[in-house]
Amino acid sequence: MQPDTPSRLTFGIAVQGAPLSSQAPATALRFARAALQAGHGIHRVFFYHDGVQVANRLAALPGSEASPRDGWVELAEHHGIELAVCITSCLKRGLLEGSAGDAGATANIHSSFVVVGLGQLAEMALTCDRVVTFAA
Amino acid sequence: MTVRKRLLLLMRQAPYASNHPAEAAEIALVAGALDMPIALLFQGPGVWQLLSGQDGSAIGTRTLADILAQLPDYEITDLYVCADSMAQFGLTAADLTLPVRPLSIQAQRDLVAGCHVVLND
Repeated sequence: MQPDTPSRLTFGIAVQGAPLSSQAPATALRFARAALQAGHGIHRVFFYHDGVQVANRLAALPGSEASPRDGWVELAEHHGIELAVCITSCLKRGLLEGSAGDAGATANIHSSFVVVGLGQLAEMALTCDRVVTFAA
Repeated sequence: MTVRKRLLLLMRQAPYASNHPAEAAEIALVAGALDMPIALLFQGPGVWQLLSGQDGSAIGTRTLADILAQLPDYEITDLYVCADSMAQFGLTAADLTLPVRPLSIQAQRDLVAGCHVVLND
């Protein structure tokens, strides 16, 4: 059984599903807001698989649609939450860091996201009281 | 850190319909390299991930069984399979590439309840 349940939990959130073609990033965002509102903490949000597309700074949505990226960036800045994207998933999908490519001209990962390896997912699992996955 | 956390990976997807099973297998290897206690449970179409004689090169991808075959090298030996899924697909232990322990539904519930973190492929 799960060992002791403290009243304040630290969550790790894993987002696998893409924005637009899945509801995963938006649902995860609402979960994160609700968890924070209930007094819990969030250690890290780990985006992998198609979930890394949330970090694309070039994606532009019409004003009538909420941008999961902007929602995550705002939440992370207000609450000091780390937004982490899996480097392998990013490279496979053409998402590049500021330091990669031609002096950053092609960089399309939003500056609020850090690019990390799968080890950070394992570390999140070790560190957090609970890990919740939002799949496609 | 007071408690050594145990991670469970639920492997539920068919092996070559997406790259999710292969990346989940890599998560297992990373966790193994970090010396984290980890178990894998293959369920439903995920049992096909264990089939012997796979060759991903035929469709230009890695052979999932080759990644899974590295698990014992990382001392990951808590490998389980849903007995009902095996029966449903007409598979026996002789068809599989790794030694896995068949579990009843109840035993799978107990396994999930006994792990701190559950991730799926």
